[in-house]
Amino acid sequence: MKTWKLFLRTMKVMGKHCKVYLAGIFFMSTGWAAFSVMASLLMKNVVDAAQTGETGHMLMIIVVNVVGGILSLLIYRRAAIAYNVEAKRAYGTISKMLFHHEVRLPYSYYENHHSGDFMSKLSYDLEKMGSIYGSRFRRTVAPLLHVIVFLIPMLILSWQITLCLIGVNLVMLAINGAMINPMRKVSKQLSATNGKMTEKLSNLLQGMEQARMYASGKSTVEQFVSETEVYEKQNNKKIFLTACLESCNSGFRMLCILMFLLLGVYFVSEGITTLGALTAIYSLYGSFSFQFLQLGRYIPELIGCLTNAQNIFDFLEEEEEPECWYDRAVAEVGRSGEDKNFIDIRNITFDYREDKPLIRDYSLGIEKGESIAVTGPSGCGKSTLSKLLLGLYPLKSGDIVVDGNSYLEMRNREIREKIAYVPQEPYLFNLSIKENIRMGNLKATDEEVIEAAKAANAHEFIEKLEEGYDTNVGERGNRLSGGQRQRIAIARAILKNAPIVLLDEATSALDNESELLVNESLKGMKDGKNIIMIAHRPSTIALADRVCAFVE
Amino acid sequence: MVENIFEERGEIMRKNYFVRCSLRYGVYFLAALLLSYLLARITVRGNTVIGQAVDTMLSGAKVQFQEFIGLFVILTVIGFAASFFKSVLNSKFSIKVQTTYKKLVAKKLYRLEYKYFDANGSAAVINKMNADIAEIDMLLQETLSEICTCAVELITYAVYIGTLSWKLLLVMLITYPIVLAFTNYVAKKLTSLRKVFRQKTDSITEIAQDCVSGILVLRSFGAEDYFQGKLEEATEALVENEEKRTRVSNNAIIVRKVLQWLPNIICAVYAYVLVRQGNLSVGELLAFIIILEPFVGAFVGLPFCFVDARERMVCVKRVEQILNEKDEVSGTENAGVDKDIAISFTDVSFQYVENAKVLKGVSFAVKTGSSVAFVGESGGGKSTIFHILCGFYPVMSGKYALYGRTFTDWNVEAAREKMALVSQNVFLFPTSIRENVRYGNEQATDEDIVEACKNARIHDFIMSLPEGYDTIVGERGILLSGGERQRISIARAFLKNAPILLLDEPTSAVDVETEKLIQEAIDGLSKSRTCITIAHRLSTIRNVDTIMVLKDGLIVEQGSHEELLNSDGVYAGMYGKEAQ
Repeated sequence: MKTWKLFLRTMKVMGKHCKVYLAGIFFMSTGWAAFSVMASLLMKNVVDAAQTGETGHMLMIIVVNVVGGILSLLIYRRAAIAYNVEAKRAYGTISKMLFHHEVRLPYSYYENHHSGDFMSKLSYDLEKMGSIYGSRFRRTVAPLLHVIVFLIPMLILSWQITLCLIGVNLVMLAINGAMINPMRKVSKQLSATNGKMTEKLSNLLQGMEQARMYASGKSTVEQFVSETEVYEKQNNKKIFLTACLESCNSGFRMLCILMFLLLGVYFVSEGITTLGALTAIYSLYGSFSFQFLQLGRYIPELIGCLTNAQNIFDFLEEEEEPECWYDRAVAEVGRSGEDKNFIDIRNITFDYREDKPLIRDYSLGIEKGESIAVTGPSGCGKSTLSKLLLGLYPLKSGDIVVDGNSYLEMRNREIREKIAYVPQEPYLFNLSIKENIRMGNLKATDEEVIEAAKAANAHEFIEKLEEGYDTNVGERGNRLSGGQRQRIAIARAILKNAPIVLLDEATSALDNESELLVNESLKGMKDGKNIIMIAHRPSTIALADRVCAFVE
Repeated sequence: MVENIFEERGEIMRKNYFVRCSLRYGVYFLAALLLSYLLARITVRGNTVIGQAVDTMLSGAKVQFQEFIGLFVILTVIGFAASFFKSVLNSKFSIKVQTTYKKLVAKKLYRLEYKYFDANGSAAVINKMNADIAEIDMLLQETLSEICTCAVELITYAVYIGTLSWKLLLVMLITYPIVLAFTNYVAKKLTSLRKVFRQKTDSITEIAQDCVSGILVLRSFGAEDYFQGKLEEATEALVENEEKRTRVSNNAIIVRKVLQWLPNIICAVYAYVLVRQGNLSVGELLAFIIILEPFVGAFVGLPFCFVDARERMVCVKRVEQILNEKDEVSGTENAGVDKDIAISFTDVSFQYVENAKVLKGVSFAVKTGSSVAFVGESGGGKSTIFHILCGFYPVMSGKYALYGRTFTDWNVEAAREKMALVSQNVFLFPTSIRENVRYGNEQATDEDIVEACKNARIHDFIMSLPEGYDTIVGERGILLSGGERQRISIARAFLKNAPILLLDEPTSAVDVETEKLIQEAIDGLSKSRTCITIAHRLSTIRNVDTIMVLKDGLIVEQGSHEELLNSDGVYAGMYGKEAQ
């Protein structure tokens, strides 16, 4: 029942296109089967004509059959295109829903689910769910449609022979069904062993340096070698089962064909049926029996994929980040404050877990244009402070007021518009340098982008690159050095031109040379802006007007 | 022969290992082939009998059915047995070749020259090997046996049709090349279309991953809509491409189906004409029509099998290439000759690529028990020296000696036993922390492990985890920070307890507090050991005996911290900058 509901929900994603989709499947299957029927009817006519010596209508019969065959193929083609287009469209719809959701979850979600990791799981689920539309569902229903289309002419041609055939096929279906479970068990065991081996090999490859430097590397190889032997032994059972199944199937098929023909010849000699009908049934029988054995075979797979769909739906039900954490955003925010402080952190308290408050009753006032450095031991909550400033988490109590506007009243988007953020790890997206900088202000012209790069001491090295600003930075910006990435991140922040610049240990991972360049560009950002830097390097702290130590 | 590779070292001539493995178990394959032939013959035999029965019946005589039943039972029993053994033999062949081949590959990977695992991207290529090996499994298990079955059936049925009427066979052979050519064309076209589809899907996944990995930046710049737009664009493009692909592939299916059908029509009509002329009996016509289907199946299937095989042979080729690569150079000596000088470089030069020397004649000696640090700009050759020390790369000219013996004379494994390396790119295996540390020394007890972790200042952190030392790290477990990973790898190196400690920027990813702690631990351990460090921050190496300053592939200064400061050279300049 639950599965059924899930299935309906999956289909509902298509909206009103669902009808076209279902019609597509119907005509696709019947068209294809009708073609086989036409082809075998042609054979029947040839044999009948050869037997009776009737030649007059031969040409006519061939033309009718061929035209019929081509017509059913054309129906198939039209339906197949409609079906496939709808299937892909459904895949597109669900992907878009997923992406829309993916970038809008509360920040805590990303912190609690290893970054990127859950995404790869999701894309796996998405692919599986997409395959419901693309193949699984059709594969489940198509055999039934095929079998019905085949059965009609077969019963008309000779119901006696056809009934015998159905009987034999039921026996085969039963044998195949009985083999499914033991087969699955063995396969599961084998793929587990194989998975372990693959993992060993990939560990060896990824950690090759370690493998060579430690004796354990050699023993990993030896273990792998002995595991291949274990795998070989485990395979024996599967080999036996496969062989049983194969010999049953092909032996039975042979028996069936021979007995069927013998029986057929007997019926013909008794005048119950004609040689032509026998030929037609025989040539339909191959496809019929193939489809018959597929009946119900793909249901488990379909159900498996529905669990993947369930995961997608569950993910879509995760709550998105609200527009404002506190449920009392006022429509117009924009009054300029009378306060002395441009940024006023007032008695804020925050913790990730109830029992362990991380920031308690913390207050800090920053005047307009003032630069401050926040220092303190690692784990004391410095980075959390920057996340609170960005509005990534709601405050437990207290308030932050920027330029007279309270965080309790601003939309998250408005909060972030006021801050240009440079994180510790200067994340660059797998795009061109230009696009990465323009992230700071999507409306910026090329000139403004270059201007910002110059201010960040990045222009020079960018120009030296073969493709200049159009250079793709690679995955996580790995085609650039740490210092270069950081300067691009700073250019991005400069382009944003926000009143507050927030630097989260922006230079901690750099060598001396790069740090010097980065610090220089930071100096350029200072005028008229509030810079808040979280830092522990003395050379960085020296840039600030005021240092405040952060203690637990 | 093949089994001995593990013990053999040095150069190997170019060989085709895949063919060798296959030939070794070729008997299984041949036997399976014979059984395929037997099965095809049974079908033909049964068919002939049916044809004769029909003719007897049409001539008006009574058909003796009981005569046939006995024959059919025998044929069927043989059929059952033959397909059983054919399946067993095929699988046996496949698994045996696979096992031998896999062993060969694993052993080879451990012996291969290190440059293949270098950072310049080939690591990813090698990682594809797992996928390649899976493809080879499929090649052995399915493609090869399918090709043979198809070919055997094809020939057997062709001979049978030929005996019915050679003219009929001729007609078939003339019409089928068209089918063959078209099938081949379509297969290629569809493969390339599928490739485009894969690329597009991959790029969507990439963007989506990128968004999540960079969510902090994305959110702080309010770029949600921007990226969503990008993703939707990519999705639309995919759907559009798919619509195109369906159209092409469906048209191809239709044409192929008609082309396949055409010879059937022609043959059937021609056969009919033959019957009218009296060259073929009705029974024979029936037999022909019955055999036509499996015959056509084999005929059409064969080119597809070849396309599959061709694709999978690419994987074989890739793996073969690696199997044919040179092994690491290794000698036979297991001990040094000079106890006092642990390491000496004499005029060592090295380059990764032609005409770009990284080291240009470097000479230095490290006394046993002393501590040495290399400093200098990135790209100055510090890491290269470590690569050479570990024997990952051979020197191009000059001499590198370990305990007085030229490195190439050493047995590589014995030489590496003398060293413990803490490298910059730490790799943790996706197992428990305990197992990861134990990797340093498999014989270590749990107490030894705890001891090493305490020394690496990671014990307290480990104990704070709910599952302590049994916590699984990596993809399926907790993700550790750079500093934590580094400290685990330091513990691993401590556990190895080797006389030479190599530290490549051991504290680059930790904060100042932890750095101090680790430094203490390293200082403690290096007392009784030879310790060579690559320094990231100069403040961490003030206490080492000798500092060597590398610049443009040369050692430009060496001496203690004080000496170098007083000489007011490159080092003093660097130090001044950092202290600013």
